[in-house]
Amino acid sequence: MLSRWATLFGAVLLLAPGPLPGATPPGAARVSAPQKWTPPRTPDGQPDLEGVWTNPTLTPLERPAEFASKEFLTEQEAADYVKRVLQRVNSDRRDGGTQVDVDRSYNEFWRDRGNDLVADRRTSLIVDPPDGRVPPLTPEARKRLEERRAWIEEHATDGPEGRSLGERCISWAPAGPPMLPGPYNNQLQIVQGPGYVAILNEMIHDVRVIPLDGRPHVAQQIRQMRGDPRGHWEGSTLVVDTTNFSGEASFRGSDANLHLTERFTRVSPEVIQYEFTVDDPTAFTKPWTARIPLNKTSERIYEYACHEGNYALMDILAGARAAEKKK
Amino acid sequence: MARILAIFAFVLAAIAADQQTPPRAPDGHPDLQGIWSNATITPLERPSDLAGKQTLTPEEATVYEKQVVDRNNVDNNRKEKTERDVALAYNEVWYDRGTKVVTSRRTSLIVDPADGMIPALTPEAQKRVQETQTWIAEHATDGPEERSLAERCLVWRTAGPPMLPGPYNNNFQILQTRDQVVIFSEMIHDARVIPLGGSPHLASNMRQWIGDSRGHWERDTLVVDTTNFSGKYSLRGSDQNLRLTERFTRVSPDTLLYEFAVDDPTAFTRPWTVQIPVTKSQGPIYEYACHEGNYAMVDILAGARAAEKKTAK
Repeated sequence: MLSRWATLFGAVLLLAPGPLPGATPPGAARVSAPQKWTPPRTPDGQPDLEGVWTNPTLTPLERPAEFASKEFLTEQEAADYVKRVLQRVNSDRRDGGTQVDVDRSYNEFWRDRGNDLVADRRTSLIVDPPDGRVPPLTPEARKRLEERRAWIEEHATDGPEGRSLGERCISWAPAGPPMLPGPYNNQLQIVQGPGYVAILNEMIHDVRVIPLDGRPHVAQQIRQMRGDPRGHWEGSTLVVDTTNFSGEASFRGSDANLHLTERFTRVSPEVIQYEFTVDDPTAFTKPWTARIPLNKTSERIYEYACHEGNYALMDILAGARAAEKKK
Repeated sequence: MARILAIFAFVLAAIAADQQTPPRAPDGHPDLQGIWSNATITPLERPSDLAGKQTLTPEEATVYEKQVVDRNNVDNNRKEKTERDVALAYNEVWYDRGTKVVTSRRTSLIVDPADGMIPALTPEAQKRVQETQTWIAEHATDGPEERSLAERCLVWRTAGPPMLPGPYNNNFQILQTRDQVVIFSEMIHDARVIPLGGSPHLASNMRQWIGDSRGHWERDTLVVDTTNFSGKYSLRGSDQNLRLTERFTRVSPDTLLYEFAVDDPTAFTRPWTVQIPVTKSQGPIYEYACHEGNYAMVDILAGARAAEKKTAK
């Protein structure tokens, strides 16, 4: 599986549209060099994915406009880009005037967004379509999102329902599924028991307990915020299929018809290649795929708190009520 | 003599056979995996009318079960006044508290001390609990901090640790490997990932709501030690010095004996122990929602503000 993956990776590189002559990433060599490595097995014979893994990276999900047709950066370009991004997001800067200064009070102390790009210096986490962008929404999805946006604009502070699911501590976009790098809490822990895999996400401390025994999905009318996952092995790759989404936690415009396929392949002692494919024909005009390396960490995951000591939601609504009275 | 020896040999063989009973995980330890339910109508503490009586006879258990199930059924108790009727809107559709006493027919889940009651609090714990109660009585609706941790969707008493039967969401799922065990509680969807490797507890200044759990095997029993509690979540008066020892033993294909001992010398005058035979459940466990569509907290506080305004006029 590993060698096939490496071959595919090589093929993708060869087919990559228009990279500069010097742009062949040494990262590819780094990945394909230890060919002989095979993942260890758990006592019941599954490829061993256990441990605490972390995914922070400065590589954005979508390719920035400035790199429009550039799939990979050279070492120098990468260094420049990283420097610029770190400067832009640095919330410990105190050069923006009073208001910006106050906005930056949630400062670098809290962040864990990483300080480098993914090893192959790809310009987006999205690997398909080749332009590195989320494909256009279908007309009906666009309409749905526009209506939702218009509604939120008018009702943003009417009550808690107008606020984001994250603010409401119901679900967090980076915790997924699919799991994406976020500003902090980028750790996840995998535990594999016979017949099941559990994935605990540090962000919002959600755990998915995923059956591997080939049982069917729950009945169609049962809908969950985070869907209904089923796993199976394809060679050394753990494949997790998730359906039965309620659509309330929309991923970049996805709806209840989202079929998410996640693939976990341990490519070295330190790295799981995590890949997910979003297939939702009522939301996107074509499926799309992103790839994110999960790096092994010796850090442990501590308890997560969302509402505890968090007054944002109440203060936002109270502020809105006070503003209304003033008028 | 030969007969005695033969009996002895037979008993030994029976014991050995019994030890083979639990299905085994690939690493040879008993397989505790699965979804388990601890729903029971047996109370934690022995009811006063059963004082001195440790177990019920099968006949007494049948009568007791009927009494309790009838008493609990809010849909059968609609003779009350309107306001009470409204308060009973959270009706039987939502409940899953079981209809049976535990298989041992004990009158309390507490097996030690022998009176089936939680031991007396230490004087300092009594003082602390009283002060909290007084403070809450005065400030119950000042702000969210005065509401219960469950109302705030932070932690739920029954999700534990330790895990106790509650009115609903009584399922938990165990996932087990050689090196760790995951206990995923349906109530408030908390998961504990418990290392088994003999690693030490967190540094004593690291304190967590649900503590820091470490497990090990004692023969066929999984033992989970939890310390480093923050004390903000209190089990019947416990504080941050709580040392909780949970024991999981699979005693039959469908029964997991769950036992926990509470040792907190600054809170209780002596340790106490609970036993709950937990039964295999078909599952699956569905998604849990606490805040979603739940207006209780906001309404309670808004109601209090409205009442204040009325009084002020």
